[in-house]
Amino acid sequence: MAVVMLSALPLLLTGCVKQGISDKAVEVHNLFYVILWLALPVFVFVEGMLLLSIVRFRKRRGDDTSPPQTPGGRGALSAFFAGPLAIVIVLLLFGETAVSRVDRDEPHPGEQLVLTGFQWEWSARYVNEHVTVTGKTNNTPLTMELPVDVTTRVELRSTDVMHEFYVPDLLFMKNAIPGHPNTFTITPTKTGTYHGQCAQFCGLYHSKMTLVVKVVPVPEFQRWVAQTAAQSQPGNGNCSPSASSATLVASQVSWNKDCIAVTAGAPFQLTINNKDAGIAHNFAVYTNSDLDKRLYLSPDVTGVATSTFTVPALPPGKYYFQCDIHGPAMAGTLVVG
Amino acid sequence: MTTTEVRPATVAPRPARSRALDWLTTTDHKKIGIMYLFNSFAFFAIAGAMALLIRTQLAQPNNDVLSPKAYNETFTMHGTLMIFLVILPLLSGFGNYIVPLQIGALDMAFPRVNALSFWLLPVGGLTILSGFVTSGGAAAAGWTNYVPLALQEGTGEDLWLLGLLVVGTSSLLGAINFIVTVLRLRAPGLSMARVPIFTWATLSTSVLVVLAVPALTATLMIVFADRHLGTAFLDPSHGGSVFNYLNTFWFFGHPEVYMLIMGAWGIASEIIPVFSGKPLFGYRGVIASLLLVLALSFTVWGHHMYTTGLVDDSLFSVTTELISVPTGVLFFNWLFTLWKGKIRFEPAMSFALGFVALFVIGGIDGVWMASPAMDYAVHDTYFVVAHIHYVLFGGSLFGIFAGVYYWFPKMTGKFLDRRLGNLQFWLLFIGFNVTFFPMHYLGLSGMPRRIETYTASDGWTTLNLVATIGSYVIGLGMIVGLVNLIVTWRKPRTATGDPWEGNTLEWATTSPPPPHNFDALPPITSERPVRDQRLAAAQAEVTA
Repeated sequence: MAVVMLSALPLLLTGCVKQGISDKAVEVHNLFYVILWLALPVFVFVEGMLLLSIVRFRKRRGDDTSPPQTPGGRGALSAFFAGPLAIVIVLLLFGETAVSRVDRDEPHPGEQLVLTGFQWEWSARYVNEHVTVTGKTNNTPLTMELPVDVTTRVELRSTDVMHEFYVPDLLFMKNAIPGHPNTFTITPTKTGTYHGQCAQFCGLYHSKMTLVVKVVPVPEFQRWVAQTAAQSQPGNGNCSPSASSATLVASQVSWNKDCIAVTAGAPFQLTINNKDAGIAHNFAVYTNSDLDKRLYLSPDVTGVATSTFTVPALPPGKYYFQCDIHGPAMAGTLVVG
Repeated sequence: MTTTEVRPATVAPRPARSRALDWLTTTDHKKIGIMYLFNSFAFFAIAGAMALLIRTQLAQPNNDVLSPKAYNETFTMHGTLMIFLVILPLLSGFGNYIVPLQIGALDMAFPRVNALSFWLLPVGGLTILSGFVTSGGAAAAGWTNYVPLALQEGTGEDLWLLGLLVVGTSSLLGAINFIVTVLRLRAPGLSMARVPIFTWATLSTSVLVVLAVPALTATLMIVFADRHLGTAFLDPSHGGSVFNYLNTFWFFGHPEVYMLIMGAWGIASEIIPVFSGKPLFGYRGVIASLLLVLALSFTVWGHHMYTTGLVDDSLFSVTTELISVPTGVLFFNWLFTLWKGKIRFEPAMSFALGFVALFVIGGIDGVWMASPAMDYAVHDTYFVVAHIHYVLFGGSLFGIFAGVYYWFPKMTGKFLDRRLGNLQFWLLFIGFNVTFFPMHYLGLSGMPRRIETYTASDGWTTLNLVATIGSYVIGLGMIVGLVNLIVTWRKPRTATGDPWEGNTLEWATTSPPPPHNFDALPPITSERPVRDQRLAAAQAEVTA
């Protein structure tokens, strides 16, 4: 039974690695099989020799003769070192080729994306199109579309702790590290909807930090971008009446409002009521959602806590506000009128 | 027949003491060794129960046996306890009991330091666990304790840091003690080229501890300083860098893996020759491999950081794959020791053979992750969970159970029940594979590690259920082991000094040995002095 069980194990591994939806992913898919074919003989040799010894060399009842006392000479030991070394060299040749291809920064990207991880969601900024999409913690995951056969350069950021962008069908993951943006390029070649998830443990709701990647034909991608841009993006909303103070409640990494209105020409009181235990939020005001110029930034308020700040007077107009730690996931329109 | 007299000329008279006080104040390496084992198995029961909780939570999608917070605390504690308070101290426990016997010494070099290194362990372990009674709960940043997440945590995190500092100190003191003991207290004739492999492995492990644990201590201190002393080594929002943490932690963290496995290699290298009736094939090659692994283990830490984009992937893939060469050599040595042997199947041997069969899988699936491009696809998934358990459970723990069945008669004079031992072996061997082999697929199909639940649409339900059932079989196997211990407790002492026809000096004294270990030592002219003595005695009988 043990014989059947053990020899079947590696065969069970075949055919279970993902096919891959980009050239780079196919490269990794193939590397999996290269390693499998190098590993399989090693596995069969070790388990085979072990099982053969167990079957053939068990001590028989009444046999009191001593087995041959072979101590093992230099020749055998040299072979023991040489065998694995040869396998390792072949493995390194394939491995290094694969990693140089997967790490290659493909030139002339058609799309540029800033993908930001935070506790516990993702937001994606399409740099050329000035469009932002975001997931909402414990509510809806980020859905981002990518045009098929177009190279997208992704800049991966984190605003709080370490996260990891991981899409199994891309056979790829990369850490999002605060203070150190990572970039990589992907060129998906197969349309479809793919599941993604944070792979670096990041605290309480790590398991909820999912995302959806939709790879679509270019015209469909352009329609989606236009549609998303046309929806009321933070910074374009509208609300009234204006008051001399405003209150924002933060809960589950979301503000309770996506628009606040204050009177022009006078400083106003802003209260942050942060209900997220252990998580910091703040209030930042920008001229627009491209973050061209920051006009105000409050100190961090770490939950559970409530703080009130005085925001200096602003000329009438529409502004974009967000929590700088959670970006577009906690953003809205500030109407000064 | 010549023998070397080692009994001390005079033994200072001691006042009569109660048995409990005797154990609490002992500096006898054998009692300390047994306390190490007892303490570690107590933590093993706690950490094992946590593993079953984790598996129960993951048995079904959207399960709520554990809340996300409780789940995070549980897997953090499971990993921390298993690594720092179970596997390493179990190996140190055997080291304490066996190493002085294997080298023909009276005790460890520093018996009082030895007692201190033991007593620090329960103190450190309970400090770590005491996080559960704080208002914020226990530490929940994983055993790797990555920053900045660890900077956000509550009091439980401070207790975790403090407890690990204490445990690290215990390891350091113990390691220095082992090194001095092996280098200075060997019996006449026992050159380093005749020292048993388990003692060599304990020596190598101790060198790793002395070189690597200070890096852990530094890491724990800078995390504490960033949390409470206003420093910013690690916090990017105050000018620090996450890399400081990653580099110091993994500079410790990878040699740590070898600290947890070398002792098991040593145990297997003792048991396989004895129950095959042959010398260890390529004894010197095994020592060379140990030393090569020791040296190379300090050059591979970057392979834990391929996906961070912060290290030279090529450099670390070369070193990582090179370290598989000396490891591979060990397999050849074990297999050629078995070849043409006369194999006796005692539970100790079954576990040692199980160790070879399972550890090779852990070694091979490590090769996938050593290749950076492949690692991008499986790092931080259940593939790595499968790998670490094939190495630390299939490898280290199967080796440790082999050691328990092998040395139990030496420690107590009693044999653990053979049938229960075989039953435990098969339950663990089957349960282990059913639990952990499916995790390779879960990883390849995209299940990240450390998630507290998943949805049915992820397609991971069946394999998770299979893994959970396997884990209950493992739990049953552990209960059988406990029953065996209780049954054996009541049995009379029947073990002779050398019940297995052993090779090494621990079999040259009574079972259990007297407080001073040996009344007499056999002459040492090879790495198998007890066998030499047995053959000489048989020869003498024939000629008489």
